[in-house]
Amino acid sequence: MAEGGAEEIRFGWFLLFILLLLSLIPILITFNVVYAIFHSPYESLYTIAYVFFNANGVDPFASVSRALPAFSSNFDMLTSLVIIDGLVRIVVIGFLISIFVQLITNIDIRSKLSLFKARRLRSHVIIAGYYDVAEDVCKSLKDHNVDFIVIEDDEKKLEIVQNLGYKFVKGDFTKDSALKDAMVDKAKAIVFSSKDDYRNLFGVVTAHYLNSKIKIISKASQENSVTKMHRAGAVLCVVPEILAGIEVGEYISNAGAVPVRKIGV
Amino acid sequence: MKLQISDHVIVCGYGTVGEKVVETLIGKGIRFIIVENDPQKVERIKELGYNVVNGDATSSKSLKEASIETAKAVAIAMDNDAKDLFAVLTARDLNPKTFIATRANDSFVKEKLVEAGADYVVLPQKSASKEILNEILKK
Repeated sequence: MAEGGAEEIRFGWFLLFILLLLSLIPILITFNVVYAIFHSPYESLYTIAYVFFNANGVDPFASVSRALPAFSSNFDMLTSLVIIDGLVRIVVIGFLISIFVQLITNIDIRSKLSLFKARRLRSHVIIAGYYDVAEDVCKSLKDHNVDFIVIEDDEKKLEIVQNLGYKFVKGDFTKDSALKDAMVDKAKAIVFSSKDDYRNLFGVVTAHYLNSKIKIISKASQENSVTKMHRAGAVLCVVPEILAGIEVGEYISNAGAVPVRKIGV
Repeated sequence: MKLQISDHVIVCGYGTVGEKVVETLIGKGIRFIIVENDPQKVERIKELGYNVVNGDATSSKSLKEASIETAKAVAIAMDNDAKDLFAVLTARDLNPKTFIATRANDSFVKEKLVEAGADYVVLPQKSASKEILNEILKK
């Protein structure tokens, strides 16, 4: 969903909430009026009947109550109306509360708070995309007390990031706005670690454009992406599988596991 | 057909990791045999002039063809943790003394691979994150 669209929807909910609050007043007044309209004439009628019968020496309860058990001062015919009135109020208030809760959820307070904290960052590291390599990098940066912030737009990953207590920006790291929210102009380094080389490359170009002095590091899945990343401005581009292969080869050779042939032999 | 070779390294899988292992071994002058079952890759390996066994590295037959009994080391570099685990178990079973190095995609698999008999387990993501961290912390 585009960032502008999300803002519009949040504003829409807020407006609806205000309108519902305003409409609550006349609704409550209307119900009271309805209640009054039905209840008052009934009470008046009852009183008149009582006085009339009483004035003529007739016990109204004896005559009328026998015929109409409901026509008794002990029985309020409009009790049901009062109950309905109460139920409607409960439903309306419940509905309003749910709107309010949804509004609060939409506002995403944690996200706003994280954004506020991000504005104070200086010489920090930006982690663009919370994938496998980024998880390890974040843990290591935390151990080394280096300030960092994560840019991610996947809800599940964001939840993990939030639960780990990391600062974050909810957004697409290929967009200027997300990088700006992460204070790319004040950061010392940025790491692109998504599984998509195209997205990483796009991010490298964008970051370099917004801050030509920032140290850009990227992960790539293909070896042929490396030169492109360097050309786009990355100082380091790692291909995990290549590193692993070199590490295994070096380890096998250096561990003395295998006799190494001398040159010329 | 079994290749007559000894004190060599068996490289299981010729993907990105396998290719780099082979490159490093060539640089050090170490003999090796590749075990691969993808026909296109096997064709490419033959064109490069490397020794290759066309077979599945998880099967005893393929490893025996690659002379595992006389191999000094086995580098397992397939892209599937379950297959890697199987290959480690098979290799260890056929040669209890050989050095087995393997890759893992997930850290929770590493312990299982060591339990299965691997001497060295490399996690590509960990290697990458180490490089990245070194670069970040560099003055």
